[in-house]
Amino acid sequence: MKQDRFILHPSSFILPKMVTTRGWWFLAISTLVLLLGVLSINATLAVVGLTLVLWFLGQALLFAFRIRLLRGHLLVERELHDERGRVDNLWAGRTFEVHVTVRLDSILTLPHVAIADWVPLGVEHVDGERRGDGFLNAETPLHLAYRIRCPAVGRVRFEGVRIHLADLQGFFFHGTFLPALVSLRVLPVLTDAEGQAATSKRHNLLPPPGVHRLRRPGSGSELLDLRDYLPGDPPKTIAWKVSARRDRLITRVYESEVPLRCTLFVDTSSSVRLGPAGSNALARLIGIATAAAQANTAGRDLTGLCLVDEQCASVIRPARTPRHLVQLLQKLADVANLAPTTGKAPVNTLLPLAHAFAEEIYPYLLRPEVNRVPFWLPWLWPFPAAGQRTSPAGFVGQRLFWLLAFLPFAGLVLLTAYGIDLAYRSSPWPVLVPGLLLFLAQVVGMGLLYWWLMRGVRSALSMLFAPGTRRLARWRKQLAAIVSARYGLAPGGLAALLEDDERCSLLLQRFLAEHDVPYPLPFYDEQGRYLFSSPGKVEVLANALSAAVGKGHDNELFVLLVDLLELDEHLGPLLRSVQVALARHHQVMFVCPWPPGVPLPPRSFELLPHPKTGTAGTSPGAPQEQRAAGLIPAVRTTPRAALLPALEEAATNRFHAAFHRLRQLFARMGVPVVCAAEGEAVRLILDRLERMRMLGRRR
Amino acid sequence: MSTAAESAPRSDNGVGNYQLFCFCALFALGLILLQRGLGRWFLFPITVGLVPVFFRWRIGPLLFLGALATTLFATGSRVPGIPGWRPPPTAPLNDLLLSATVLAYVAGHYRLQGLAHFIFPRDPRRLPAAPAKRGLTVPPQRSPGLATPTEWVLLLLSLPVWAGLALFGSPWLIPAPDEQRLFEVETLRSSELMEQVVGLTQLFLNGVWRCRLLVWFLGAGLLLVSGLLGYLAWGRLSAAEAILYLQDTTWAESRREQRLLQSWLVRARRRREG
Repeated sequence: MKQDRFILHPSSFILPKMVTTRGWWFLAISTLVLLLGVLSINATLAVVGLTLVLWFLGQALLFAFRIRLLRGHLLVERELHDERGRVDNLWAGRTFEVHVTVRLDSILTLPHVAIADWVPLGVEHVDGERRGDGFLNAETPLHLAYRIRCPAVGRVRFEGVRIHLADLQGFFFHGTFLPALVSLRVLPVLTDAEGQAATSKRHNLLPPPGVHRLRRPGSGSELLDLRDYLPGDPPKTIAWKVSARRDRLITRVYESEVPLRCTLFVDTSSSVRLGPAGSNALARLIGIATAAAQANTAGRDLTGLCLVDEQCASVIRPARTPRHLVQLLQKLADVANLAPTTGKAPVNTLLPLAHAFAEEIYPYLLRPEVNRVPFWLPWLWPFPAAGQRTSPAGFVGQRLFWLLAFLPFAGLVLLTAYGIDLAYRSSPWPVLVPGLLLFLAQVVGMGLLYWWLMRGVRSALSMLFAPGTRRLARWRKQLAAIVSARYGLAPGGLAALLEDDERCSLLLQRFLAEHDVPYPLPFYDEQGRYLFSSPGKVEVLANALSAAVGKGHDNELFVLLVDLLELDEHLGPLLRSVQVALARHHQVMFVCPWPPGVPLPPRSFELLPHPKTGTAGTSPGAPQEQRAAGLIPAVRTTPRAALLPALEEAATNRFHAAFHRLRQLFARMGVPVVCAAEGEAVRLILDRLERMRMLGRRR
Repeated sequence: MSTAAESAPRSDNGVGNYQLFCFCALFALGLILLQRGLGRWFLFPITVGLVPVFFRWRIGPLLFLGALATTLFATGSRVPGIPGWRPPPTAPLNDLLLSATVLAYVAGHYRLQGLAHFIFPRDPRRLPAAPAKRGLTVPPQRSPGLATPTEWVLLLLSLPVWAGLALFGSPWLIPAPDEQRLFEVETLRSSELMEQVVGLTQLFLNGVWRCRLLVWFLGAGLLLVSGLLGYLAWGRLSAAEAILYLQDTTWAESRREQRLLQSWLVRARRRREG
């Protein structure tokens, strides 16, 4: 499938980096034997020692040349198979076989090579060996075969193969990573019975698949209305019996039969990306969107897709072909494992994670030859220079340092004053410059120099007792260089990332998210504001909905799979767009993703089209009752954990109240709101979709 | 999993074969030491070499070298500068065979360790748990089936080459009896402690003086080869590495100005955001 030519990255200086501890010990003892022989003029001992030393150096030279001469001759091939053969896309929930082959395209031989394949973080290893060893030459490749299972929709990245080279004695070692990137989509599994639309017969006459009745005059087969005959009406539409009864010509008007276009608006903003990939709200929304798209396609309805986040909306126009369905699934798979990002995430939390990952996958970009960190850098130039926040202890320490540093300076000033005074008193020449002016100039000059010097001393002193900070500074420089080059920042990008915490944090998150590495994020900023409510998406969604309405035909169904909880004050533009859609006789329905682990909102509210006002805390099915019914774990009795249930309860109440407000808000316009909870079956939601389409049709 | 050696002829008992190889090397060494007239002294290095092979001790080759050096030193060395000193008689063929068997034992024992213990050093990095679970730890030791007879043949063929090179180079290390020395040591038998220390220092400096050629040769050779290989490595940087290198150079040349500029920009942005 993918064949990558890999370049080994040996260090420019040979010995210190490739000799193992075993090699160093052997060299030391052999050299001692040689020196003993030479010093004691023992020819036999000298010959034995010289033999061992020469043999060692010969092996070192051979190993170093092997590594360099084999540059560009190592090939990695990777293929994924299912039971029918090679595949280019994976399917969620199914097992696939991975075949990795490492070849050497050269006449030379590597005496011992060990490889280990990097299994993507989003897949499960089922069985088979991911590690292997052996010698490597042109005729004998190394081959690995194992099986994986993809639990969730998204993308998986096979980064490459870890490779270790050694000589047969274990004196020399070179370990690196063969980057052979293969990125594959994991498509949602095609639904069978679960994803099919309800087939219960609700009308005497069902239109053919893909055609739906619309209560507007048209050329359908169902009677819509009777009206007076107008010249030009076809005679076959004249209702003769009714005309005879009324004594004037009456014409039958039939309903329209049109295709139903369903556009799915899927929220991909940071608010739904929170949580482990595959089990967060985004995965749930994608599951529902996938099932709805497949059910629509099975019923020959047209399905469109609009992915919305804080910045933009990406639209796929409705269509009904199988190719279109695959395109939808691919688009959904591409966004399924997006990770949340915020510039407020502390850089120092992300650095160890990103550096450990880079050491595994990009060891050749961390080499000092191409990514150097001057040894003095962490001591004298702490990052960032601007706006470093200090702890209270650090604040007191700084003040104390400057106070202590002032004492020698004061002594220096007094000494200067005394010296100037003495010089002026004893000078035989006339005084050209006033003594005070000279004194002030000297004090200012000395003060600036002293301040600059003390700043360096303070920085070095603070770093002296902070090895962790020095390490983080080194890592930050290395990672900033990698990230800056990777994302094509300007030549000043490296310096910008060293100084700008927010930018550095965002790019590190992007780097980690691209490689599917989970990373911790804070939920609230320093003022206690929630960081992932993403209010910007409402405007984007409203614009996208208005555009869809503008381009829409009759009988459109807009399904909003969006998290709008606790965004009440930002919903104005969206409500206006929904009103426009409804005014154009389209149907709108709203599916709200429900946070995993939070109890469902009370059932009694859910099916009411026009809910009465009430608070979630006092409504039936509130947490107290759910706890009594065993839906929520009982309150723990330990004193330290006593606060946790109260917090859980408060959060649950908050979510219930937010959902209730949202439902109330949309119910005023007749827009149904469905809660997409974690455990709820897709079939149930599809059923509701179907039922709501029917409800809308009868209006 | 299938490995490289699947298609090649394999011996499944590589560990046992290398043990046998070491035993043979020790047997040959014993014969050579006996032929040199060491008497019962020959048993000392042989025993020290035999036990670690049997028990697969990792320190075995170093112990063996220490024992052999002690034996050869004790039975064949003379202290120069002492009246009546003469260099011990040497037999080049005997030295050649001795060196070859020692090398055979050492190489065989280290290969045995690669099969029985480990061939790759332990990774010193403290990795987070996640990457370790990804299976990025390669097998630390060679699979026993990978040790093929070809390895032995190549090793056996290479033994006389290295021993011959050493024999060829040894005249530059061991002086002839009439060769002029840096210091003429006269005071080693003196009863004065200070004079004894001076004598020993002169002995040491004489030895170092004799090693100058070796040191120059090895040092210059290492520098030359290292520079050559380093230059080759620069010429073959990948695109990603080259970009990184250029960026790093730009940063190193202008880091002070860039730091100043970027810190101002950050301050301005923060002020704008309030």
